[in-house]
Amino acid sequence: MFVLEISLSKSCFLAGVTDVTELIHSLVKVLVVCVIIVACFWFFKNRTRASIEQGDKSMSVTSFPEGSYTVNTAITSLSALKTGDYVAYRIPTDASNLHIARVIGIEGNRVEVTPKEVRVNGAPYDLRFPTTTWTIPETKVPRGCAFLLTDDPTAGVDSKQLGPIPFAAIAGTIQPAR
Amino acid sequence: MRIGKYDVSTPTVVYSGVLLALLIIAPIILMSRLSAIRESWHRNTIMDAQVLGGAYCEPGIIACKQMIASEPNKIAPRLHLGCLLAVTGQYAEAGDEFTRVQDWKAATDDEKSLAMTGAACAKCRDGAAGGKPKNLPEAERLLKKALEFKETPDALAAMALVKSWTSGPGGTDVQTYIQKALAATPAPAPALLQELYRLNGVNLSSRHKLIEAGNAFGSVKVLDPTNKLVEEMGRLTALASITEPGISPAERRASIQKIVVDIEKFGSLKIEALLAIGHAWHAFKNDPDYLGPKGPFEKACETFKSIQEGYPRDLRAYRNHAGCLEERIAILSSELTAIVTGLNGESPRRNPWYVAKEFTPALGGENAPYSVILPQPEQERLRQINDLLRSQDLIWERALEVADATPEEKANAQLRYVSCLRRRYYLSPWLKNIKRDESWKPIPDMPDEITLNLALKVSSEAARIDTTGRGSYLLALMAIEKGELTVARNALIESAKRGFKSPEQATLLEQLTRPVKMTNAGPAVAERQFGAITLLRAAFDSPLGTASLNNLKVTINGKDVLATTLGSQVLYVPNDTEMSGGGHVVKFTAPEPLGASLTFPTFTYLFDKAPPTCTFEPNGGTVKGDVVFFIKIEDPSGVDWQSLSAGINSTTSGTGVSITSQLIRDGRYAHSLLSIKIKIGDIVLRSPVLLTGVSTLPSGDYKLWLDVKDLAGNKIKQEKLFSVK
Repeated sequence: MFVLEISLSKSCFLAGVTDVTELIHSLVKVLVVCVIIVACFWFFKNRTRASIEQGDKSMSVTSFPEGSYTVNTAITSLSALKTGDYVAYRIPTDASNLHIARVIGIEGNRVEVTPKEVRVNGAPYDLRFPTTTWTIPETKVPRGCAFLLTDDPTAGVDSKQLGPIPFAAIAGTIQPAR
Repeated sequence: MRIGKYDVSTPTVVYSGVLLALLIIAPIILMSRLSAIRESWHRNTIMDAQVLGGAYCEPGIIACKQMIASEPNKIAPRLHLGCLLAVTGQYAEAGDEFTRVQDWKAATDDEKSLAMTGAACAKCRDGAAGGKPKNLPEAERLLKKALEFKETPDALAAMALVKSWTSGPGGTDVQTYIQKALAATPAPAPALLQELYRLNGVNLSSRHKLIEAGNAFGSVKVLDPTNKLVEEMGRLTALASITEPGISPAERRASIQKIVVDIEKFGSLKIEALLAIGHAWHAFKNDPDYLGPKGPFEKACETFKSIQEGYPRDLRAYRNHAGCLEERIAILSSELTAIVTGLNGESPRRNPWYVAKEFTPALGGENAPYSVILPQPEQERLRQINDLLRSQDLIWERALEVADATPEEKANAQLRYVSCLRRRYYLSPWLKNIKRDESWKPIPDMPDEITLNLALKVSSEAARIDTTGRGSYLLALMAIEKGELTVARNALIESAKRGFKSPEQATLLEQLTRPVKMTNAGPAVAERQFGAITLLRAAFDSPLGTASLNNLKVTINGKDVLATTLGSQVLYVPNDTEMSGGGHVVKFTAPEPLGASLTFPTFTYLFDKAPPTCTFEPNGGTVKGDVVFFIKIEDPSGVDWQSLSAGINSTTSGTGVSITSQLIRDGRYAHSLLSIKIKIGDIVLRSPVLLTGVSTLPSGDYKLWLDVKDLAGNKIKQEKLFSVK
């Protein structure tokens, strides 16, 4: 920013601006523009996009129809997440794309998925997965990780295949369409 | 507005103020955010190194060092650095880095505990080989220190792992640390938590808490889905757990269902999985729907059947399937009110040998139980038992044909097969009334004779290879049923030799090996002096029945004679040579059950060919008219007094003498002989016989005659002439 300011000031001098008032005016304008640029940078720094491709059934079509979604990357710690939140995350084999899944538990939570229900810390949670072919015995989520599951266990890559996802791999939270 | 020599407008002043403020505030903000900016700058590098490892580690280490250099008081970079150094194998450096943290005053107890845990882990890894950690005492010391700072989940988990190497995974202290680590908040790091769950699985397995152990292994798999080793352990534990007693039916069903779905994943362990599934279904035996259509019993049988089809050479499926049926048979048998002897493994009673000799005639006579009309439920039970026994038959028959089995296993299979056939044999009479078609005709089943022969054949084979003696015992029982008591006796002796013992066996052995007894022999002592026709005879009681008396020997005067065996008796009629007068010695020799011969006490008989001898007193000549004859009649075998006839006849005619031709007829006096006080009808019982005239005999010539036989049938007629003057 300073570099930009100085360069702009220099450009003013070079342009033959000698009047102090004009110079100050120019500098202020430059500073205001810089502030706006910085503000925009910070705003967009905490925002990215995740998309649901056509035919991707990993998430409920009702919640996430095909399209692009804004990811809030402003979360700074795992404690900002809670069970049921939707998050976008990267996976080691496909670092360029963001995947969407639901948080089942964060570090220290005991998660359990049975055909009947999802239990977090022993208490039933209002989530259900078609778990006819898989279940998760009560397992504690390790430090620095979150346990994520897609809505459709047959699609997507989530903690079933990867184990608990490190916080570092989580890009941010995401809001469903409905 | 004029400022100094400059004339400036109001907006210019405002703008200048804003500019001045910005120039002052911006550096302050920048300086205050420098640490966060720096952290933000390095954060991704370090996180990539932590998460992705490999080539990302080195940049991560550099970033950490840069952060430490710029902010030496911050602990997090040191912890990250220690971790990354350990990941790259620089354990000593990592240990040093971690250890330094404890001296930093700025470090919290959490951080110090984590650092000491890291140091302990680095110590264990330094120089470790073959999956076995090193420097365990030092690591334990460091972990104790970590726990002194704070009992973090990581420190507790690491301590549990270290303890598992020193006191074994099943140790009580290990268990305590595991529980504490799992209960601590939030949780150990991913890799440590994985190891903790694995250790917990092993610990629970060692305490036979298989379901919990399976869940623990399952958790390892959840944390690291690529862990194949633990997957295998988890599967095995899951297999073991589905047959665990005490598990709720719903849980068991769910576990079975899960294994059924994953059955192909078991690979070479598929047969084990199927067996476990079969057992698990069988474990529902106390459920009310156990026997229902598509119920657990049916499913267990289907599972075992599928193993037999898929793995025909493995004997276990046959054994388990038969065991499943056996249990059902036992239940049905216990519900029976009709007493089907032999069905529940008690002594067989069908053979008449048993019925007659040793046991109560349980079958109730000729017509029972055929004529017994059983209640419908009873009939149904009997029919079911028979069907189950038939199924068992088929299982064992097939098993013995195709299965690869050791001699012991084969013998065991044969014994079970025989046991099954035996019970079918006992059950057969009861089914004769039940197994009938609509027109009351018996439905043909395997004839008893064939069942028995098959059982005998299989038990013979089992007796040959079975070393426990049980095979021989079963052979004995079947042989008894068949009436082959010699075979039975030999088999019983063999079973005893091989160490098999049971009260029943002892009783049978005692009965079948007791010596042959001579119950009586003839002629009786009083009849052992005889004549023309006689019969030598002896009756025996043999534990092996009359069949064993074929080898019975009879000798007369040391020579074998060809005697006839009839039932339990031996008979012999002596021939002419052996009928010479005088004494003869008879000897009987019977085969002894154990093979030797048994000689019975001999006896002598006298063979009488001579008629009785008669001596008269007076012995003829001239006598007085009131003469009384004393006639002595003697014979070694005795006089047949009833054959005695005697009389006095006149031999001179015209003398006017009364002629009485017969004074004694058939052993009785035919006249009263007053002079010697004999009345008509008196019986002649002994010698001497008195004889005189009916009245005084007139002078003349007379003839005294006498006919008599001895008890051997030798007859004599004697006459004595005398004159009366």
